[in-house]
Amino acid sequence: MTAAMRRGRSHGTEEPAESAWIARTTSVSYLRSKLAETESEDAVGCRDSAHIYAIADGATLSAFAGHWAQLLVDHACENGLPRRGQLDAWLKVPNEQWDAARSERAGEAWWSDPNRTASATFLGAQLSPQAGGQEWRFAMIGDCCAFLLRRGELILVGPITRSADFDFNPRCLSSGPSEAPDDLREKTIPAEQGDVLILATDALAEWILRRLEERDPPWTDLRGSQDHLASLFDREREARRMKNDDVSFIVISLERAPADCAGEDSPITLLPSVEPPYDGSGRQPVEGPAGANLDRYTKRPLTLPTLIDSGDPPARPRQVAQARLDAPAPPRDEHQKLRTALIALVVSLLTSSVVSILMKDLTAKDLNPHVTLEATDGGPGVASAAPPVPSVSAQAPTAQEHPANTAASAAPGVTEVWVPIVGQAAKVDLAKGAPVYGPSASSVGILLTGVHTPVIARVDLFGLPACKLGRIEVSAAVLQKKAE
Amino acid sequence: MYSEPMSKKRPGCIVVLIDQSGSMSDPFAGSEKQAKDAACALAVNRVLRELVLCCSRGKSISPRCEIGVIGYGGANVASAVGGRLSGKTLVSIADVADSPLRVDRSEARPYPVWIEPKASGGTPMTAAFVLASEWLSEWTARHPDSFPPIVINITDGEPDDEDSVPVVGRRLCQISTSNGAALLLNAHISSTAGNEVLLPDSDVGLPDAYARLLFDLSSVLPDSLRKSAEVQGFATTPSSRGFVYNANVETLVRLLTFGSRPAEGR
Repeated sequence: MTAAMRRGRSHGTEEPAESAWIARTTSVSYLRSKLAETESEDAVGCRDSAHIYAIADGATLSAFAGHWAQLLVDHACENGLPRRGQLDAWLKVPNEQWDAARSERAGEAWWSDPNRTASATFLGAQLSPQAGGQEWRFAMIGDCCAFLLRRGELILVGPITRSADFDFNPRCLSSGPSEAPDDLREKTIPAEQGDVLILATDALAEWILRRLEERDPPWTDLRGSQDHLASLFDREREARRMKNDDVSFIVISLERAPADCAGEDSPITLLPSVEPPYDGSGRQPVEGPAGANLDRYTKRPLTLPTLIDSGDPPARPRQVAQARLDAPAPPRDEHQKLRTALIALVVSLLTSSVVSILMKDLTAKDLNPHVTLEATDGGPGVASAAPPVPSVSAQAPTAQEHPANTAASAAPGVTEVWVPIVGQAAKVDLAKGAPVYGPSASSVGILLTGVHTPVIARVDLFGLPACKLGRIEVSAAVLQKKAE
Repeated sequence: MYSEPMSKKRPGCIVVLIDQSGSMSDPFAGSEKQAKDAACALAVNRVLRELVLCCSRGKSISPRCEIGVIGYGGANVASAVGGRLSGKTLVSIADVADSPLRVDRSEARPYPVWIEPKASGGTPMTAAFVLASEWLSEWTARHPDSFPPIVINITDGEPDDEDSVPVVGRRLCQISTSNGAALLLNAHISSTAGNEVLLPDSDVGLPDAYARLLFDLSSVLPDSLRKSAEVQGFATTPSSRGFVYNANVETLVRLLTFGSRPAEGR
């Protein structure tokens, strides 16, 4: 689709109706607490291709609440958000899945009652086209909260707006029959470039609201590594400023392709035509609630970010990777375009051999500076186009050190991908996965599982405009920390 | 205050006092079929059952609270649980879950039994409060930042020592954690037939002096418990107390803050 075509559908405005917007992460993480994974009753989900983000918090006083929360989130990601007046119909699928897993919930103990119902709060957000742009739509029940920041200002918060209004009795979606009225709440608001949306479960939402009431906005504190966030939450819990509850949040940042893409047939679309698989490639295996054999619900990845070239059908992540790396080389004398064609980091955590190989190399070399990462199955193509010099650095590269500014070479027939990592050096633990996240105009982050603690590194994509990167699947930050 | 949810890290403490005096063999609320001691044992078993279910995560029990049961009747004021828990003071809810004397599975829902009916001698409520205070003091020293301990006293309200009971009751309610002072909740199982009374804010209308005594002993519900009660459909005021008369004692358990309890919703 050309820009002119897009303008033609824009209802008389110069604003493209289906402009090249992307959403990117500002942080991503999954924090392990001191407790077992099975303690968490939160669930988060992101379906990047449809720009659906959902978060749910299982009620403590219900059985298998984490499982139910995950069913709700999965259903939202796969089939869209519920609508008011149609909640019963929307709940049919997760209700059936819940019933089907009844035998898996059964146990010997007298208190193990598979017929007990579970409850969870729910908040979903979806970015959708509307005349002249895009809009956020929210569907919510209970006390998970959304915070929408625009140009540094909080322009939307809800459904709870005061920290004092949180209690232990939120309204919930139940896994069982209910006579209660459909009190799903909905909200739409036009989206704008630069929007940052945070979806948070109640403990964090309450904490954010209290900080805002104290005229001490917490946004800066919410950036940073997992270690930083873990320390922050531990500190705030100890000081009783944060409730001792599971903490999960999703951060979605919205960007639009920069002006220098105007007139190009940008492959980046808000609603790409190709559906990447939502499930299939898990992060680290996760036990089901209370050790139940509920893998099919809980082994799904929390995020499935991908960076996909525009011209290839990303039927499977591996195919996408192959296709991208085989892409025609751009002209040697156009440095910007050269890099554009070169840089494609396609991640599917366990299915992409490319990434696996990358990560094996990372592991072997312990991420020493200036490690070259080879993707041996990438085939010929871009490698011959003299890509930028590979660099893995424990420090942010200076202008002189920046890979884009350094001489490049690559053996014919070998495709190489270079990843300057800004931040802490870390080992990659393959068993736990190493997801790439947050593709944006300028960076991709990699969550590296360290020897002792996970760390986050950022991958600089050399400041390329978003439109040059091929189709970019939206990804979102996911952070969870469980109650202790 | 009273805001800390009972959790693995900061567990709660619930001590159930069960009146096992001779008067408990009288019929319950005019009933010919059930004596008060049976009604009382049933109430305790239901309370323990409810507590276990509150801490059940599905196939496991999260140790969100420690439980003690003190029986008082005649000269006997001591831990009232039997079987594997016999003689123990405060035990984890996980141990309670695993150690009923028996489980009656004849009904649709399993009914575990920890306490059997028992009735003999006088009603040494003061001694029971003193023993409970000892347990609470020891527990708060171990858990200074938890939700404050809760004592649920199930009785027919005819103490031997009417004068000293309020004194030791008030002393018990001064035992504190950083999150508040101990709460004393009373469930009156009476021989007098009368309407159920739940969480009243005054003693007006209570049928006898024993009920009024127990009302006076009962803690005013802190906001967090009162909010929980309202969500569950109970009418309360800021003066409402943790007192029920001839009513389901589980009501008191359902006010406790183990974490989020879903309000009515779809």
